[in-house]
Amino acid sequence: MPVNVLIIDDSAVMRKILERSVRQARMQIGNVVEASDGVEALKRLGEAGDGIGLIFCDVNMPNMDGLEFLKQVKDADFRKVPVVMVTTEGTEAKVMQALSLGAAGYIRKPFTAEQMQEVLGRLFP
Amino acid sequence: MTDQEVYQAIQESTNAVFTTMLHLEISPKQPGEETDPQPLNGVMALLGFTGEWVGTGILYCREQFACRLGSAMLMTEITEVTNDVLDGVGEMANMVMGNVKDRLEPLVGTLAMSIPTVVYGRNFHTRTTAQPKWWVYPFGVGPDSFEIRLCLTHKKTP
Repeated sequence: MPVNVLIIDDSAVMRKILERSVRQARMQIGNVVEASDGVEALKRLGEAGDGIGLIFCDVNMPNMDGLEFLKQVKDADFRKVPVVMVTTEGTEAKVMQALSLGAAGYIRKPFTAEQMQEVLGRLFP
Repeated sequence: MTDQEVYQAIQESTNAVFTTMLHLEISPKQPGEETDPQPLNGVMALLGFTGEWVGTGILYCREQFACRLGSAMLMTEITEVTNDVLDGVGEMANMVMGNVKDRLEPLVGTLAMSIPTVVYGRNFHTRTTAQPKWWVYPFGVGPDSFEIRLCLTHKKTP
């Protein structure tokens, strides 16, 4: 069954690259919904109800950053939706912080097609 | 932190981002320092660093290469500087500087990084009050070129 995806990044180009990468990862993707920050993403999630099955979220964004979005999602009705954090910062501390907040995965930019497939394969075996 | 450590961090980070993201082979040129930046034309993406050390990282290129970057990222032919091109240059700078940051943090401590700001124009100057010295690392990509610039200085205690 196709999975609807929410992609959150303040860069429109990065949102397009992420969508292309997810679609190329041999996974059945339904609709892709975009948001440019955490505030807009929460709104999109509310509109979509339980229709979103996977979230990719940038960490460093204006208004509401990715970690704050992650906290709010995990406290809300969408806590079961897997959130994969996407960031340029790959230090162990950042990874541990995201995972401790409930992130299902972590992918560092720049990423290869194989890295994207590995993350998706783990979440949707 | 030595000049060599900075240049190595920039070269490794830039190479990783360009080859992984765009499959572009880049050729490092001779890096150097600049204390009196000259007027520039083209596209410049800037990110701020803050922590025990503070400063700015820049990716600078001419219009033609900015369009080439945007075209490669979006897999479509772009011949003029659009918002997508500026966004693409900003994202490339973000990735390069995120990698540089990770490589320099063992030397300078934890750094926080801003979101990118992109400037496009002709005959503009850049100036920073914190540190007059910039590390400038030029790279060639076929007929085009671009530069990674970094200034980073220890924060003065009041």
